[in-house]
Amino acid sequence: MSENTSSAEKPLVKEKKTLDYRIALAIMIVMIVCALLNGASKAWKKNRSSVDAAYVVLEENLQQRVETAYNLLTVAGRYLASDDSLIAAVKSDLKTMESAGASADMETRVKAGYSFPTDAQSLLKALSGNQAVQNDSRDKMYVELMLPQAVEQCSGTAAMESYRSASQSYNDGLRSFSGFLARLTGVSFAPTLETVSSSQSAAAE
Amino acid sequence: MKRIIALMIMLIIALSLTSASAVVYPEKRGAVNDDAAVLSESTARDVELLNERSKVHFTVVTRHFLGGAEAQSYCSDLFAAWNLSDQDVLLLLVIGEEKYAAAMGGEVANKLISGEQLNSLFSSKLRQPFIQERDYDKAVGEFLLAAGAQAARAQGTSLNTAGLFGTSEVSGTSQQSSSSGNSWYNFGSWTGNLWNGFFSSEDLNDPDTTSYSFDYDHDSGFSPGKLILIVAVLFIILRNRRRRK
Repeated sequence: MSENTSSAEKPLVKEKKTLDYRIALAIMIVMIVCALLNGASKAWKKNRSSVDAAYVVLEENLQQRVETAYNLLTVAGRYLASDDSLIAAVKSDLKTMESAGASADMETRVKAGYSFPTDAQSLLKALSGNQAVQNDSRDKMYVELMLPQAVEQCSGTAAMESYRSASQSYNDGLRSFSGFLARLTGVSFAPTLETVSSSQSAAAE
Repeated sequence: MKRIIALMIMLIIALSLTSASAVVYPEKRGAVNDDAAVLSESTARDVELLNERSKVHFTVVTRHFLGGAEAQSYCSDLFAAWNLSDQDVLLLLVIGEEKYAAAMGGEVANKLISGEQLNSLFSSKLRQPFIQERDYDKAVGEFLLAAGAQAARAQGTSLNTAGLFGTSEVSGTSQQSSSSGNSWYNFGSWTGNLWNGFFSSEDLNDPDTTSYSFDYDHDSGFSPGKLILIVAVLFIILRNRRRRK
């Protein structure tokens, strides 16, 4: 009776040991995969932070242009008709720059931002030649001193170039194996500025 | 579990929207913050002296432009950003945009100067020197003296304004608020700013240029109070559904 019992218990113990080994192996594999994914995700998120920092600078630059455009249009509106072509050009730039900040629209917004200085300078030139502006000491000061300075200050292309290079190198790196793993965890490509040509930015200067 | 995750995502999005709309305001530098450099030293000194004599504390800010921001919204937000008290009045003059706005603390608005009285003061004291004469010292001086006198009168006291802003003496009981029939709805057309109405966010009859506000959550779109309310509502809904199951 006792022999039967012991012989019946033995296979049970063996089976239990095999089950534990498989589970341990599976857990180990899962942990290795998780570690790889986690490591890749962390590393690429860290890399992404430099792109995000450049993006913040670019957004600030665009915001400066938006504010300058509003200020310029405020003064211009006192002297020119609202359907004036120079005003319409600045207004169009402003509208595009202010459009929803979705990443897909960024390139369009940046394009508008970098055509703004040219349009703004044309408008300032027209205002400067306006006799009514010349007769108004306050607005003359705005048109000939403050607003040109504001346009000048925000018309550089450094922010755009900085973002462009940061996003390009980040996106190139994200096509590697570790980048592939990171993308599995939700890390995405950064929006690019490929079609904003350097000639456009030079023209903006 | 999915609901909890959805709730967390919603909260994160809401908080990120709140932080994205944050605006950086200038540091407060006393009672007069003349960024547009249009006020004289004597006006700045007189504002300080008026604050010593009046229960209401006035702060004046001048800016050339606001870069597309609405004057009243900016003024109210600045009032909150500077942690001004219930007894404070913040006067904002936007020189290049020919707009002005004021924000008042709760005690001033509820007990001393009503919104209608404030707009009446704008109309009778500030508008003419600010827009037509461009005498900003006079605009600030006349407005603050009248507002201080109004506050003193509401308290049943008098305000000694001797020597302030080039005046001999003005008492709180002698000053009368004029044109009380004026409504702030009528003030939109005086601005002389043809640009008003050019954008959809601006309006010729925009009350923001002259009205006052105590609503610090005016433009933020989100606040801790709203956040708690949303969480509470979602909690109740989810709990009821579980009970039904």
